[in-house]
Amino acid sequence: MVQSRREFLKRTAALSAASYVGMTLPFREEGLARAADDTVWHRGSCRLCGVGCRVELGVKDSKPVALRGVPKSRTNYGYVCMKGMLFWKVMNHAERLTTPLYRAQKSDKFKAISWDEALDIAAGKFASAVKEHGNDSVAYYGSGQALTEETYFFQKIFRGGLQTNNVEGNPRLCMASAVGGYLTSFGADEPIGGYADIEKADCMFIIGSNMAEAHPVIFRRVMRRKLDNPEVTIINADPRISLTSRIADIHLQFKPGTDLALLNAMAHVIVKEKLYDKKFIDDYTTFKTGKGDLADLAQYEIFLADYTPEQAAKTMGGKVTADQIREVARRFATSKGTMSFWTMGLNQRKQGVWANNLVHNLHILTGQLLKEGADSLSLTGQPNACGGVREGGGLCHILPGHRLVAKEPLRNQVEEAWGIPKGRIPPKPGYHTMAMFTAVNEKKIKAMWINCTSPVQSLPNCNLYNEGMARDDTFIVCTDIFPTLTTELAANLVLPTAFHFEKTGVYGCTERRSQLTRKAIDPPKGAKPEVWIIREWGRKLAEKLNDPVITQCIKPFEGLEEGYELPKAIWDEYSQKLTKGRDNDLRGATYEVLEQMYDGVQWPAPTEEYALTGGTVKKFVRGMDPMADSHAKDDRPYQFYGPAHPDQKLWIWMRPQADPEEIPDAEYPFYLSTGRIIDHWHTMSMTGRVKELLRANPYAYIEVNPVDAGRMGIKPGDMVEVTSRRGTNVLPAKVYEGPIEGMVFVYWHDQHPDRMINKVTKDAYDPGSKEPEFKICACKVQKVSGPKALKPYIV
Amino acid sequence: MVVGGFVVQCLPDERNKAAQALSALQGVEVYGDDEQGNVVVVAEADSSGELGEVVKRMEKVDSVLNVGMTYMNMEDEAEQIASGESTPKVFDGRKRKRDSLETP
Repeated sequence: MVQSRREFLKRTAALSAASYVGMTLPFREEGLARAADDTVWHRGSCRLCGVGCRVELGVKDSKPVALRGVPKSRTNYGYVCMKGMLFWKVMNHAERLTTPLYRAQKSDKFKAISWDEALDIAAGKFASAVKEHGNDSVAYYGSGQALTEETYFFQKIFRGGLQTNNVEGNPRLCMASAVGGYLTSFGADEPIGGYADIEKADCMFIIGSNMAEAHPVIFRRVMRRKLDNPEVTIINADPRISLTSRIADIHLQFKPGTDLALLNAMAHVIVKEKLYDKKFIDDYTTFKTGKGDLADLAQYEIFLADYTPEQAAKTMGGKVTADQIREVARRFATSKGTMSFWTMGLNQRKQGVWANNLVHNLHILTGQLLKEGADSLSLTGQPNACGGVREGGGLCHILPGHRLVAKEPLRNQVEEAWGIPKGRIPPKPGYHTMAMFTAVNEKKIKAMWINCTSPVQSLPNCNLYNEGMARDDTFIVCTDIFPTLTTELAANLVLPTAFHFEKTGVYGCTERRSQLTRKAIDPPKGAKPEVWIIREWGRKLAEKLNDPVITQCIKPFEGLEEGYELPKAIWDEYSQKLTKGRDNDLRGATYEVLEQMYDGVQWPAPTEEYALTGGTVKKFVRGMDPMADSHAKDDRPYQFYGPAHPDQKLWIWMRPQADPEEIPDAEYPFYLSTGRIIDHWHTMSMTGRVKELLRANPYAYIEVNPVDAGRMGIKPGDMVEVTSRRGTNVLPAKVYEGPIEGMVFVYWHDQHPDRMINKVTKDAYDPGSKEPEFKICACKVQKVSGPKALKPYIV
Repeated sequence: MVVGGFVVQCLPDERNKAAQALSALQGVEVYGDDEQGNVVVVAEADSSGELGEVVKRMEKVDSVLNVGMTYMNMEDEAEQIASGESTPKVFDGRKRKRDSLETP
């Protein structure tokens, strides 16, 4: 019996793999002796990056026992990375939080309390903050990992109920510059195309992204495209050689912060050699000076005059030649379809929006957009930064459905949808993330809710902000599944939540795709889904503030079962009332439709019938995007109906090369950059608890270029001190031809006080997107000792 | 016992060599290959941790470009965890008790 079960599982595994590549094996599933296979498969999304891989969790006797990819999913076609395969271990983990914990003072020890007491305390503290210090003394700080229903419901209570726009989330730290770039270049947030272009692209330009490690399943598609079509060009531009560079035909390694010069130099070549698409420019494009004034191609050419390939090559540090820049520009412009990919390397910068604009410029100039195989695609870091936070109203300046807080008619639409009085939502945007934590330092925030994220570790220059969070001036509630550095240092109240597959809700990934994950198992006893927590807290809040409008905010959700009915009602309200007629129209993506789809729906999808086709693969293209038809202003095939460009055109921006906030000098002679590693996810509170992931990379190290290491006498494994004007880390060295000479690199997941690199990073931020410049600061580096035995560290 | 299904991607010309080398690894069985360089592999190990090690060994095989996982069954391990026979351990050296939690 054991043998047959084993054989059954092996054959099942083989058939699953073979089905992905269309291979026929000499046996079929139906022929297998089904050794009492009572596994029930529940479809959902992986939650460990922004790709949106679809998986099925196998559950037997209420326990997760197996995982498989969904072959018909258009995101991952069945493939899953090892990190994704192991996330089930988090579910039954012995260290899950299962009871509310409270301490009056942050120096006290936590005491277990009941849910009723916990929600009473949370409501009391927020109510008294509002009464004594005003509405803007309370704040919500959420996450790109929260479900859309959660982010939407939280912001509804804060904006409609507590009358503050202090609603923020960690996507500000990773995606805000991409939002700024899309809005200012295309007039609408989020990409025009998506992953489907990969299999049609003939040139792929990967800049500021180590997708091999951060988005491994999408990288697999890129690699497959290259292997099947060797003539496809892969260009990787990055100050650091990474696993992604392995498949590049051309790797451009440049000094950190000089990529704006590279992008302008590519435009210089394209314009000078007339490789642009004249008709596309004439029909669909407006040129803008840096200040936003109207300009034209001739002025743009004058602006680009300073960016000769020779000059840019020099600016970039001398490792890239002028001819390489010409070659890259020509391939970009002349391929049948060019796709760009980027992520934090461009976004986490003081010039993050500009860098995004300059990539978009290249696509607009050359018409490498809107056609098969061409797109300017910002990869998302978190599974629901797009869906929940960008679309659902999770940032201080935007309401659900891509509405600006500052615009009264848009506020009124939301108020009407919620059935609350006009004028209830305040007109002023709230604090953006860095301003919010500065306000904590300044004791202006008296009560704060931190959901599913750990700012104590993830904010740049974190020592500065941790001082404020650790003080008793701000009452902090944390909702999470595990203890984090934030629960330990900053929380007064910790509320245990249900994990993925233990609750129901929607994630929206990189490519405008919304996908449902249904509850498959019960959470550990004592842990609750966030939507239940918000509703129960909201009811107490209404009582304590004696405010019927708060009651109105939760009224549509009263009495509903929290595992499915409650999130469904929230999604219905959001999708039907708040996305109606907006560019992210999701009315067709009802739970009923999403449950039928292997891989969800790409918006705009105004009707169920249309949503069942999968939705809109290419935005703005008539015949492919229903809104391009319904909002057409003329007969042209492309219609840019996005809310931010009144002229309904794409904008080419003149953005100069500009230095990062901090550049190396005599005292701090190195660049420091930070990033990710394949085995870990963000602050490691989950992946650090999975032994096999932790063992693969137990602690952070510092990558030092061999030339620099030789000069400083640093050998592999030596302990190295890295210091900036803000803080210090001591880490083992990895001597590695990764970072360019003069630059060191550290990955940021490690929680240990000596290796938490955000003590060292800088908190300067982009003036437009307010996204901090995690990627570049100046530091000094010195060897402090030979190798030391280190232990991993998780709170 | 943990069982995983994989599509291993190799350079098409080297797939026979890769398939041979993969078959030689302990716990690895090759079920087929195609001219695009895809090799269908099943690997088994005592735990998901050990399966991870097998994946790492597959990745190190010359001419293997990518090991794509498609399926994983860990029902025995899940059973052990649920019955208390085994706990998904965090690494050694971690302080076992949270300092911030009051002991009853």
